[in-house]
Amino acid sequence: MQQTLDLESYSTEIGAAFLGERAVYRGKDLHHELGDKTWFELLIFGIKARKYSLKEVKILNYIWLSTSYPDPRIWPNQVMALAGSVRASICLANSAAMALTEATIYGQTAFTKGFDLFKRVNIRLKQGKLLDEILKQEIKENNILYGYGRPISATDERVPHFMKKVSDLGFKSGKYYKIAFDIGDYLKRNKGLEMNISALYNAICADLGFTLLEYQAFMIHCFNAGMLPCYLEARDNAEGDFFNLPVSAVKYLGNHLPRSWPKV
Amino acid sequence: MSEVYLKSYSWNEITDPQDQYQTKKHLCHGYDVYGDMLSYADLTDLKLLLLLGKPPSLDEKKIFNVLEFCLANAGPRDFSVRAAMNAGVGGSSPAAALMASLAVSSGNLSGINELKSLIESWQQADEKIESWIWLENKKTQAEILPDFEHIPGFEIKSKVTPLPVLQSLKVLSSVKNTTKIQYLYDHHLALTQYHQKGLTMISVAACVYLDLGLSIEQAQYHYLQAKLVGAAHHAIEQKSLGWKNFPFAKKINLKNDPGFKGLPEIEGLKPCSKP
Repeated sequence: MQQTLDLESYSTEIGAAFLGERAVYRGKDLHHELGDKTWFELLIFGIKARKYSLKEVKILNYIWLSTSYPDPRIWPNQVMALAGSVRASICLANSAAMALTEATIYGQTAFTKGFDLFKRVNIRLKQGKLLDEILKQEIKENNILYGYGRPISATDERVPHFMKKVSDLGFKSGKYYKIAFDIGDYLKRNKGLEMNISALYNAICADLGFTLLEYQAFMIHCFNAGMLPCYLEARDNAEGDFFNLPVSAVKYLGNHLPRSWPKV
Repeated sequence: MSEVYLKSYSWNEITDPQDQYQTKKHLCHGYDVYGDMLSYADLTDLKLLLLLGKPPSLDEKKIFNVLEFCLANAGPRDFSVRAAMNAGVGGSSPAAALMASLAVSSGNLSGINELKSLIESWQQADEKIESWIWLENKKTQAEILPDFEHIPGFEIKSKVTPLPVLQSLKVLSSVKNTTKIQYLYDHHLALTQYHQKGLTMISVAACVYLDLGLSIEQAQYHYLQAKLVGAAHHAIEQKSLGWKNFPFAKKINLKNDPGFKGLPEIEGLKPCSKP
């Protein structure tokens, strides 16, 4: 029997636009009830419908701020600069650069894996297992423990700044924050690896009660403030000027000498 | 002479002595793309040369061409095509339409994560149907994408394999040296009976990629770009049809509506009356 489809209506609790009248956002009138919030507060309310204290908003805000590096060499920022250099639009450049941040060795995949590691470790600690045993098993199974070690530079300068902010705002007694440091101590002792900033982001958001999906949603914008200036500067520079490469800048590593295409 | 900046195992550009920013020759795995291939090869040859690193056989060209034909336009009901149409209807740019389509083609349902799972299943299976059938491996660790909510390669609801899928499979099965395609063609009824779900086009695509010997990543890139043909077509078409011909559900059932609280009174600001 054919299922009846209702293509004329849609049910939701998230919100709706009543054009010419009002907009509702998670059960609240956007203009009347949420109009005095910052856009940042609205975004986190959209992800997780609860009230945040001023201190919570500040630490979440610092997560975004502390990793927004406007260095045009950083991969997503290079996309911005390349797009600016060839005079593509800033909106498309931004969308593409944001998509890049779902990367593995940094960004969303690294956040996801690191956040999940803390959740797994916490469950096993609750089961009475020792941290050393848990981590030996994790290293055996996964090799990489996300949140520890950093390409290019072993030390992460964001860590002390973030720790100070966490301390000032009173978040250092969180369960996952402690786990982050306990794992860090183990890896420093046994593998010579330093904690990187993502371990602390993961820990703070886990302590604030984010689910993995909510955390992924929140972290989407964490590099964004560093991206936009890279585009703008490239637009100010001459067209096609961003590391425009001469032919000789590409080295051929293949072993094929010139040859003829087979004629049938 | 500049410092080396990029490296490539496949692509070799020869500098024009007149201008260090101009090339006089492009060699792909040693073959002169413009000076030789262009006269004797076609686009499929170039694509497969890039993918395989060698000139393709006639059988490889045939199944690749048939697959590109089959994937080219999934039609306006397809989720990734509809994403592109949402761009087209609002006057967004062609790049926005294709980016929207790519994003929606990247997931678990008709997307490249489904393709990845299918290819992995095939790679682990031997020639017995029981071992081929996709085993649900619940992830023990989180990844960006969630667990599958349907069996990869099969319809989410329908028990029958769509005729276009069977027609595609039949044409492909007429090509020699296609063991995975042959297997799927010979066993499609048994597979649909076992799962009580029809096969989808992505099952066919997975077999073609395996018979071509592509890596999972190569298959994913190809699948994404092959589907863009239809996405582009319907985005353009929807733009010309206009927003009044694009569905927008008339009613919304808002379960937690706080109600209308009025608009601020602004002196001098009055709504214009309709003519």
